[in-house]
Amino acid sequence: MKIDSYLKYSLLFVIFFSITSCFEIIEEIDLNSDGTGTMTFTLNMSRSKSKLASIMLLDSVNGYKVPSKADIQKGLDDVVSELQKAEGITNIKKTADYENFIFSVKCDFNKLDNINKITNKVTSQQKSKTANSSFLFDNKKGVFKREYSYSSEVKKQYNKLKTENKKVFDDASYTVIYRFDKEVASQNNQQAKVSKSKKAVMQRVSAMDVINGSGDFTTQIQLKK
Amino acid sequence: MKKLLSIALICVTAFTTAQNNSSKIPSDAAVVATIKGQNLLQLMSMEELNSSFMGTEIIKELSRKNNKFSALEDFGFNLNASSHYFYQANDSVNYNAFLVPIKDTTKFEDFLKTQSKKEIINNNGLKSLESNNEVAIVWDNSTLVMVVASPNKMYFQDEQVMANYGLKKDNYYGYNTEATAEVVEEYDYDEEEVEETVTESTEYEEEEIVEEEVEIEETVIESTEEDYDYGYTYDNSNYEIKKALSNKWSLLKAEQILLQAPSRSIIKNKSYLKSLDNKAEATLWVNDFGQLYSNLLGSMYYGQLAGFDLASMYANNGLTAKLFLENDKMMLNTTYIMSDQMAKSYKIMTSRKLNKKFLNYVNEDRMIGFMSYAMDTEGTLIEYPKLIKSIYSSMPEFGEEAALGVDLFSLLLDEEAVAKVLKGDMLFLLSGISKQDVTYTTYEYNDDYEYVEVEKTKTETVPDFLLMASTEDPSMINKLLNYSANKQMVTFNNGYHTFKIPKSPLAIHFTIKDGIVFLGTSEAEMEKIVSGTFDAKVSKKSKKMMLDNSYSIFVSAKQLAAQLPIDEMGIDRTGKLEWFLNTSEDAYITASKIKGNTVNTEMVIEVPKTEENALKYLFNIIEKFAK
Repeated sequence: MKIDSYLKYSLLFVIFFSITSCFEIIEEIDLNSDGTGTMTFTLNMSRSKSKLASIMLLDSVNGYKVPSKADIQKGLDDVVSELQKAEGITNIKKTADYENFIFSVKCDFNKLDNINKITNKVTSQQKSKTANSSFLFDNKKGVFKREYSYSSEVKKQYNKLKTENKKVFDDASYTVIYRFDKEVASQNNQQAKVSKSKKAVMQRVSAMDVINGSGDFTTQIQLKK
Repeated sequence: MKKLLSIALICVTAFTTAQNNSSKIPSDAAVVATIKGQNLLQLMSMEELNSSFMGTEIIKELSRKNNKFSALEDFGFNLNASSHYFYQANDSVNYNAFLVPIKDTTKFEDFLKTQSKKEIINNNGLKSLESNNEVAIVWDNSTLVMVVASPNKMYFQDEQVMANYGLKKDNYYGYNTEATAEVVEEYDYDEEEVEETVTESTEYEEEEIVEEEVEIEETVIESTEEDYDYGYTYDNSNYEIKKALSNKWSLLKAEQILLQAPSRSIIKNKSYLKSLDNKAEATLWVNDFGQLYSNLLGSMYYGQLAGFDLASMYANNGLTAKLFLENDKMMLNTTYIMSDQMAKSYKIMTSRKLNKKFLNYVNEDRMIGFMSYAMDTEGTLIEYPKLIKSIYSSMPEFGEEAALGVDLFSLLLDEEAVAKVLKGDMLFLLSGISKQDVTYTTYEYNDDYEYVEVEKTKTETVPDFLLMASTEDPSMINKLLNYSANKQMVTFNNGYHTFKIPKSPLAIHFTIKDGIVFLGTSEAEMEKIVSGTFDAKVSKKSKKMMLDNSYSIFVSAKQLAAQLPIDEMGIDRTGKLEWFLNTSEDAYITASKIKGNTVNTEMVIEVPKTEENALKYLFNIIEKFAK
């Protein structure tokens, strides 16, 4: 056996031995009283960085092709180019930290409906039905709403994964943060918390709860006038 | 499929008196495998077998609504005798045959009726089903024979043979392009030729063959009449003709096996007789790999294009394997017998012994497993091109060029100089598991749920490896290391070089000491090696395994269970892996140095003390993982 083969097997061992890989997704909406705002979407895989660094030295793992840095870059560029084409979306920024495996995309929107249109487009392009979210803001009444519908297809897709790939979701989380320029009078999602300053609401759900459907993002927030 | 598996499992657990059944194996069988039911039933009683998970699953799978079976004996097989598999080939067809002893014909036929609606035909005590498909099933009062015949594709590409059987020339995709209707009209069956071929390959009586021919003609006409018109000239008549032939040949072969005279059987073959062992639960015998490769390549469409003359390279290379299921271990002993020419090359290639100094860097208190490998680089570089040349030089195209290339390679290469850099012996250790702190980025939120990135630390489990290789002249390796250091690819500290895998907790350290190249992941071990304070600890058993063999692999399940943080890793949701590791003992494979023309390989899995014997242990593992 050649020495490079030993190294390759050593890398596979590292992947095998690495404690559960995990990631966190943070979705932020900073909403102004006039309905304009900023949305940021961040994927942080830093807790798994040693495993990812090892994986990226291989061609494929667990039967999946490992994306190269160029593949990831292209994926991010595609997202940016789609956003550039979208109506009412401006000031698009992307960041990619390959040292810590943190990637984010940020954009300004004229109204929340611009975001809904992008979400609908993405959903309609997908082969299988996945969970769906839409936002609504009534600036006259000061009411922010997020509607969320769970699809059991998510669980089905998850169940199709091999046990070793399911591991990825064990410690993963999905966090949503809504920030306003006015104080929150009330909010109706029991899984969400209002910040001390009263100007933000945060909900952190484990990936498994999102997959099982027990994590519900449906929220109605009443802002003070 | 499940049903097939169940029947196969029954066959595997079935027996017949060894002498009677093996006398039905033809003298020119190329591969023979035997499972001895008598020996197996000594390890596990019939009652235990019936109530085991596997036993109950087989009974459940083969039971029907109106025909419930309650025990494996209900199928009529003689589970206390030997079952055989053999492979036999000639220029036109390859046979895979199974011989299973029958204890109670009535029970067996009742069982068969529950699995197939076909009528049983009794021809002077030889029984079969009314029409056979790819698997011919024939039995008498004591033996069931199942045969699958695969026509040799190369044989059917011969123009004369094609003309004899009414086959059309295949196009690139393997089927011919003439209209179906024409095939029926043009199909001119040559009785004489069939008689000749069948007689050659099955040595059967003429009368019965003539009867069979009529059947074939009918089959062809029937099947071609049912062909669909797809609007183009697709025609599968070649396939149908060959299918009919192989169905016919498999039935003839099955009958021939049952009627075979002991004088024409394999029991006169000395090499085969040597492979038998009363104590073994199962045996395997391969007569000649050269012949086997020749048959297998011939059965592939494009085998000849590859041009590798594996048949001549492996000519006169045989193998016997014996499986022993004992109280304390299961052991597979394999003896590989080489031709004189290959043995001579192999002897030179494996003439080196493992460097004894490697043992000064092994600590079994931490070690999970090892792999040792003793080849002689110089011998390999001289002998291997010769073997390669014998394979490539017979290629239909570029064979001459390939041979010339190999000669040029040998001429330019200074085998002796290369062998000084790496002599060819290596020891690879999975020397333990260590924990390392790694940082990661996460977030902390303020009163407005705005976040700041913060760096935290977590512990990761990292496996430790140590690879050792002997060197006589490390100057070339040193030059490489110095070059890498100059290019800042590696660092040099405390007497060893380090290559850090970016963003990974894994670093590989190198050093050369006492004529050994060390390459490892553990900094602590590397420091001990450099300072001469390595705390070596090797058992006699491991020492012998490493030094006496050409290669060896060893895994300690106990060390793996003790060191692997299964819970933390989240790899064992069902607890099966933990159970397996906690109940398992050591496992190893060794390949001996060549003695005469033979190499002995031993694969051993030790049986935990909690288990009565290896067979029950195997059943237990299957039950645990299947449930």
